[in-house]
Amino acid sequence: MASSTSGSSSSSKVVKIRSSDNENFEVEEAAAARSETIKKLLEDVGDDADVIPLPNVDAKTLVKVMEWCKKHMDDVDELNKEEMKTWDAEFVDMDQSCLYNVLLAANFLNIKELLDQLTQKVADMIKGKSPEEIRATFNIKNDFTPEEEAEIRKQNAWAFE
Amino acid sequence: MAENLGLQKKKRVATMAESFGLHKKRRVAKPQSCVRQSNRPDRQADVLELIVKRLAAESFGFQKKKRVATMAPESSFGLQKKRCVAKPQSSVQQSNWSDLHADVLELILKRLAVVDTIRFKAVCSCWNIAASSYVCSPLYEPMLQAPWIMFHYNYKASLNFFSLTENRPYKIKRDDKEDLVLGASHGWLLNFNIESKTPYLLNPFSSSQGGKIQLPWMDCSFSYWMVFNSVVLSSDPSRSKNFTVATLNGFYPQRLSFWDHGDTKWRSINMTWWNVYEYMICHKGEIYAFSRIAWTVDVWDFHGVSPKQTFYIESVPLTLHEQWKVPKEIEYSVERRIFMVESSLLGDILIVERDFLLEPIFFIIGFKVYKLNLSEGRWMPLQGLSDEAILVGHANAVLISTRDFPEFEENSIYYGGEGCDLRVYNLKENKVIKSYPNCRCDADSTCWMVPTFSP
Repeated sequence: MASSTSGSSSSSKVVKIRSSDNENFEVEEAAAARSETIKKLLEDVGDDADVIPLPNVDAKTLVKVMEWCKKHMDDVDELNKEEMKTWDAEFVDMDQSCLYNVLLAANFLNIKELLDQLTQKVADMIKGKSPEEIRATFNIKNDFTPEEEAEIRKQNAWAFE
Repeated sequence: MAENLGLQKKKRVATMAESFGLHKKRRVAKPQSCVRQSNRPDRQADVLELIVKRLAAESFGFQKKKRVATMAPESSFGLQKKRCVAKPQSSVQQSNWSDLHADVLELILKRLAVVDTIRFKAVCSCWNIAASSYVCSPLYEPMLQAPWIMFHYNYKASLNFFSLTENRPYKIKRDDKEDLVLGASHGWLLNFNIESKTPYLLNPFSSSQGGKIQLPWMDCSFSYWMVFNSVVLSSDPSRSKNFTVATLNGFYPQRLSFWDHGDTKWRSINMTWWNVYEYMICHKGEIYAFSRIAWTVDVWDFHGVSPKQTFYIESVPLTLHEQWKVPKEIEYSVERRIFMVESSLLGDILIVERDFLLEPIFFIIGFKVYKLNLSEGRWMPLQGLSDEAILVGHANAVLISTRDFPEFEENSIYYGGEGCDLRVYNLKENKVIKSYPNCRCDADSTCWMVPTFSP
């Protein structure tokens, strides 16, 4: 579906999607179909679809996700690969709460490439950090009892020195 | 947010919005103020909403994962009983990273090295459970990691490592410091308890029970001074129990011994006096061993009851590199050591020749590389390694792709130990181009290991 509509941005079909906070958006079908979830829904309901409700994605997040989908709508040629890499790196560079919402949305909407980029970003934010630093980065509460934590650290003490 | 992205409300600037292909439409009345009617015109939307809700339930972890339910990894301490009940996600997402769905956590874990995964497990109970069950599952795909150099390990209270990727050392305590470390393969050590004459495999990076595999008693003695690469595993025991251990042991006669996982005994062959093997690797299910006396690479088929030598490949006359400018009078004092590595990309065996002097001081002159041409049965000199690097230790050598690990110099040999800190020898310039003064691995035994997990 995506391939048939990509590359003809002016005359391409649009689909309507609705965020969890009830904002409606019109998105080019080729962009929206980057989401396997939306693509499958469109295939299932055909052209009769009025508006696709996305009960797990708020408007702010949806705007962000569709910005990515729009950019990745067409195939990237070799020349633009570097430019796209820079764009992607800038795209995933967001604060952790925004990153969290976009990550959940990418998972729900099943956009594999975006999910790969976001999980790579999260992994990069974890690399080389101590558990305390990781908790601070992602605002995670330490819910271990002191005994549990001591035991976990004891098992692989070398990784915490 | 919308404004930041240049996405304007439709009523204001339609053209701007169109350029993004994204149109913000009128705000729809909020659900609580909307009286739900049975004959709503958009029934299609109702159906869609149902489908989407069901999809959402699946994607947000309402469905309990089989694996988590069936496995109780040792390190999670029964934490799953107390916490980590998947909660339905509300539509307005307060970022709660500890509640991330296991599928998403696994995508993150796939991109983490062993040491980062261990730290990940210590963040919170949900992450602990996710990581513990993931690394034990058959779906676990370890991230590609560069090997660490291990040094100062025999008769020491700890194993010393240095990670070039992180540019920092690690120290892993040993509670078996009386046992000899004979060699390393696939992230495992072959250790030998001299008193009981029992060898065992140990994964030093894994604290779980699966990180130690006891091997049958072996009637031989290992001397600290003859410990070179004495062990090769046919595959990583962490991944599959279908593996064979090959060891070189004894001295005059030297023995080549094999143990298949699950067997009660070793299968051994006594070598003849001209077959003293110095180095061996496992390639496509066969053992390639370099004989220090005959200067041949012998190929062994170890699958039968008694292992058989199938063929051998003679070496080429080894010469010194002109560029090294070795003075004539010491030419005959030059010693050579041979290492072999598998080049996974080409499926070839590469031979690394290290030329060095023992007297008056231990001094490494340089390295040369050959390809083992199996069909023609000869060694072919290689000009370089292009985008590969070979990491040479006292006990083993491994080849890596510098495309996978850009922190390594291409076309280079990394070596350490035996009196020098970690150095990088470039095969194009035929000289040392870099050294790591913060990696003091000037020990008499070094080897390269990739950290792995054992379930």
